Order: sequence, then C-alpha cells, then structure tokens
Amino acid sequence: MDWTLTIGLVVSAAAALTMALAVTVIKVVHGEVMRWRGVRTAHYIAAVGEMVSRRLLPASPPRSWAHDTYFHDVLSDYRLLLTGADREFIDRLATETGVHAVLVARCDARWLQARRLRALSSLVDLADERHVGDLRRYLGDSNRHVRINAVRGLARLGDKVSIEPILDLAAQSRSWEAARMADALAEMGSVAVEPICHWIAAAVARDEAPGVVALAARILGLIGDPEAEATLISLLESDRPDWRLAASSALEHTGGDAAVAPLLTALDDPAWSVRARAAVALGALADSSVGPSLALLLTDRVWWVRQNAAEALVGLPGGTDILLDTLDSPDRFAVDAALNQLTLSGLLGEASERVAHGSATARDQRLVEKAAGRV
Amino acid sequence: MARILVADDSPTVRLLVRRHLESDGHDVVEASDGTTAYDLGANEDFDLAILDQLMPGMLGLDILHRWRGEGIELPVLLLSAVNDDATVVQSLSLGAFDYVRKPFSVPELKARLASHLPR
Repeated sequence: MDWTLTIGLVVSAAAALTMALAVTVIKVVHGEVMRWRGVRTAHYIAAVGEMVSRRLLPASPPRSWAHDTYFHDVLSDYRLLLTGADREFIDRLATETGVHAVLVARCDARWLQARRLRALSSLVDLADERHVGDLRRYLGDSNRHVRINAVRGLARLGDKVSIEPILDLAAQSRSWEAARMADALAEMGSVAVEPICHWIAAAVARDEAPGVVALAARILGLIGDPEAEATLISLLESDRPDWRLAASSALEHTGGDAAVAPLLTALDDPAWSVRARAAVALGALADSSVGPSLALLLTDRVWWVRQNAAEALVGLPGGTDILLDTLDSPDRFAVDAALNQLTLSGLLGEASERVAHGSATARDQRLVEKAAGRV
Repeated sequence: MARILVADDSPTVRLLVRRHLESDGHDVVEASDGTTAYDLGANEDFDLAILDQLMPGMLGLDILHRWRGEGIELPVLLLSAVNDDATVVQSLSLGAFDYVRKPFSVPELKARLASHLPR
C-alpha cells in the first residue's frame, strides 16, 4: 500500500469537506441575515404605515429606530411616495424619532465611507431647513459622492444661496460630477433661474469656466422658464460655438418672440450643430414667419441640418406646403429631407390612404403624385 | 363594502393603500407583480383595481389592455410614478377611470376612488 497516496487522499477529502461545510455555513448565515433584514424592513413599513394612516406619533419611540438604517430607508420611501399632510407627518415622525441628528453624525464621521454615503443619501431625502448648513458644509468634502449628494439635498430644499457656489464647484469637478450637479439644479425649477443667470453673467465677464457656462445654459433649457431668455440670447450671440449650441438648444424650451431674430441669425452660424439646433428651436416657437428661412436650410451641406429644418417645417403653419414645393427642387438632398419628413410625420401615409379610399383632397393628390414621382 | 385589488411591486405602497382602504371597511387583495394582478382580475370578482404602471411581469397598461380585450370591465385606477402625458392619455383611452401620479396624497386618492366604489 502506498501510504503517501492514502494520506494525500485523506487530506484532500478533509479539505473538500471543510470547504463544503464552510460554504454551507456562509449560505445559511447569509440567508438568515437577509431574512432578518426583510423582517425588520417589513416591520417598519407596517409600523410607519399604521402611524401615517392613523396620524398618530408614537408616545415614546424606541431609540433604536433612529439608529437603524432600515428605518431611515422606510421613512425615505414614505416621504418620496406621499405628498401634502401625509408627507408633513413623515417629516414630524423623523424629527420626533431623532433621525436627523443620527444621520448628520454619521455623515460627519471620517471613516466607513459606505456608511457615510448611505446616511447622506437618507439625509438628502429627509432633511429640512435646519440641515442646510450641514449640507453646505458637505459641498467642501473630499469625497466627490458626498459633494454630489449634498448638491441633491440643497437642490431639494430649494436653497438659492447655494446655487452659485455649486456652479463654482462644478467648474472644478470632473465632467460627470458637474453633469450630476446640473441634473440636481434643474430639479429646483424656476427658483434657480435668476441665480444661474447671474452666475453665467459673472463667469462670462470673468472669462472663466466656459464648460460650466454651457452646462448652466443647458440647465436653463431643462427648467424651461422664459425668464432665462435674455441670458440665453446673449450666449447665442457669443463667439464660442459650445455656448451658442447650448443656448440654441435651451431656447427651444425657453424662447419667446425675442428669441426669433437671434435664432434666425443662428441659421447662418458657421458651426453646423448650432444651425441644426437653431432650426429645431425655431420649429418649437411655431412662428410661421420663419418658414422661408428654414426652407433655405433644406439645401444645407450637412444632413442633420437639412433633416432638422424639414422636421421643424412639418410643425409650422404652412410648413408642409414648403416641403411639398421642395419636392420639385433640383437639389436632390433637399428633396430627400422633405420626403423623409413627410413620410416620418405620417402625412404621406395619411394622404395615400385618402387617395386609396377616394376621399383625397387636391393637396393629398399633389403630395402622393410628387412622392411617387420621386421614389 | 367593496373588494379592491391593489397591485404594486412596492410593499410600502401596497401596505399604505391597504391600511387606508381597510380602515374605510373595504376588503383589499394585494398583488406584488403584474402577472399575479392580471390573473386575479381575470379569475376573481373585484369592484375596483388600483394598478401600478411599472411592475415586474406585466405593465399596468398591458393588464388593462388585456382585461378590456377579454371583456373584463373592472374599473381601474392607474397609480404610477410614470409622469409623461402619453402614458396618462393612453391609460384613460384604454378605459382607466383615473390616473394618479406618485407621489400622491392619500385623501386625494380616496376621493378619486369614492365615486367608483359601491355605497
């Protein structure tokens, strides 16, 4: 008998058995922990739901609740789900149970970053005006995720004073961080417009942070408040193509009568992306007087510009007639843009159906005949 | 009182709506996914259904579409975080009697339900 082989086999079998046992224990423990978490969350959901439906605060809530992340999660859930008096009740419950103090203490801790971030995420949802100072302090944190969450919290609370420091911070941040901050500021809505416009004016005057100026213009477009129109027009008239592009895009949502003339000028912009966005913005303003100018863009050398101009014309009063007339153009690229948009918008299909059913108008007939001649 | 189906993948929503409806004396049946909600509505009698739009298994609008296609005229209220007008219009045109956006106010939800519940 080879004893070495026997010992080797025994050791291998023992090792395999030990491994299997360890894996089983880990799986059982993990399953129990997950079950325990689920039970605790369900307990909080039921307890808080009961309190909300009865509008009754607990006389002496257990201190452990304020320290339990699952309780924080459930409060956040309810707060995001409810409005009005029910939401105010959740705010009172958070205050009465002392959750805010625990969250701020955890955010202030310098270690266990995952725990800090989880606490901050709950604080963003549950904070009130008393925590604006804390959140402003976190804008200077060394952890970028903390800074981004602080911006989210300040934006949720509508803290206008923080907007300019946030844009300054965005100017020193990586582009994805700045974009996340911009998304948060856009959520603030119209209250953010005046400070953003003020910051843009100052940054342009100082010739600083050009990338964030364009980002700020995009925020103004997302908010869509006409108060931003003058600022955006000034950017549209700047000598920087990225500012002109951001401004023309934003004017699609914020522009009024005053934006028409600068946008018409932008149709001749040397940057094709600005021409393309200006066409879209003019289409959104639905001013029929811009039809002839958009028609000229159907012969632009860039495909996107032609398509955007044709799409804008579809939505304009009289724009379809311009596209129909374009089908007779000697410029095959213009004809392609017009025909493509007449098809995509469904106008050609509808006209074809009416022709097939004998209910076509003269215009339908003309459209179908012209399209057939071009296909 | 009424028998109401509450279908939402969030236990928080289900429990909250259940608590409020039960306190008004209604009988509530919960479904945590679209497939279960569809089966319950197709095979059991309810006076009203509250459907979430985004659920695992089947979307609220798909459930509504299939029920209507099978002749099930159960009154439906969509309760959803989906906030675009197209979804609202589509749900109303498919025969939902109302669409409530999350976040929502419980008193408002109950007021919207009241006119469709048996007295």
